[in-house]
Amino acid sequence: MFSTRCTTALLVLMVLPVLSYGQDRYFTRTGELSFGCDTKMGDVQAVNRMATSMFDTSTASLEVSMLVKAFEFEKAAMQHQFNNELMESDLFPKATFTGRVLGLADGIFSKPDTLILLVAGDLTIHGKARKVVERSQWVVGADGTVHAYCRFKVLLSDYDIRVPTLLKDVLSNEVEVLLALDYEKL
Amino acid sequence: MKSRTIVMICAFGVLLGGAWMAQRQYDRAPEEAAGKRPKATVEASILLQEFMEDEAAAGDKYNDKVIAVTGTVRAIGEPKGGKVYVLLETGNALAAVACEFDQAEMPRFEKGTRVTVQGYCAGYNLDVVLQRCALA
Repeated sequence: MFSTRCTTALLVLMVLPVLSYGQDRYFTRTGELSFGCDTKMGDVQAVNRMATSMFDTSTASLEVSMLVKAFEFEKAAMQHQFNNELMESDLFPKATFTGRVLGLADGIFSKPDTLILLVAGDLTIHGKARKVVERSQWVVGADGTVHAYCRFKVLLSDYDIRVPTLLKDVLSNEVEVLLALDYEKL
Repeated sequence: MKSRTIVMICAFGVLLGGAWMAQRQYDRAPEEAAGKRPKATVEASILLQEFMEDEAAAGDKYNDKVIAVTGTVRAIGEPKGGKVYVLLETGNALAAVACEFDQAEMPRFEKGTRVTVQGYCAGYNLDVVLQRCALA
């Protein structure tokens, strides 16, 4: 709970100064994170389109935060199971990433380009933080917008997510996640 | 013998009906807020203030419930993945109440107008997030 509050506070602190003079910061409140996993009962897909993220090119810092309850499933029963039996979203309402984009050179985001960059930091899910390093794609548009994409795998066991006995035989421990962030320059 | 057959057919029918109803219940899509009676009615600025002051207490009070929120439309987002969000003014330069609508059922909004939106509260993440929204 403390770490999610810290992440929200960090996001606020990062955004506040740029209201007056920020030129190197990008923000979105509609980041999209989707995941799918194979189960013996078929594919399960979920999407969250309300993730907030701040990216500061001057410090390479990257923050992503999302509400676990904002994931939408095709079926209400799946959404209920996800929130109550897997993620315990009342106890752990947010999933966050706090880290840095590695290998940023000066002016790298000043012209249209497509870049593959490593992102490293702490991924916190279900109240448990783990260090991660992932490849990400960054697309700089001619209009100054920046789009970031990252595909990575999460092992439920790494984050102490206990799969209920009834679901153990049908749910995979490995979940593939796709993060898409359409930033606007502040 | 004949009555035993009838009982077996009835029992099979009940089992089949039960399985069909269970499957139907499992396949049900998440409910929309349209037509639901809100559990609370609150101004956008007050709602944000409650979450900023005590996120856990406000979460207990509002999360997973249909709430009606009144405020002035600050911004309307671009459609994305079949969804559109509307931001309600809170008096805070950064944070708003973000209301997510299905693009197909999105009412017409204009910036600066005062509206009441009802939706399922998902919590506070810079904005207070309402989903599966409708005009109240």
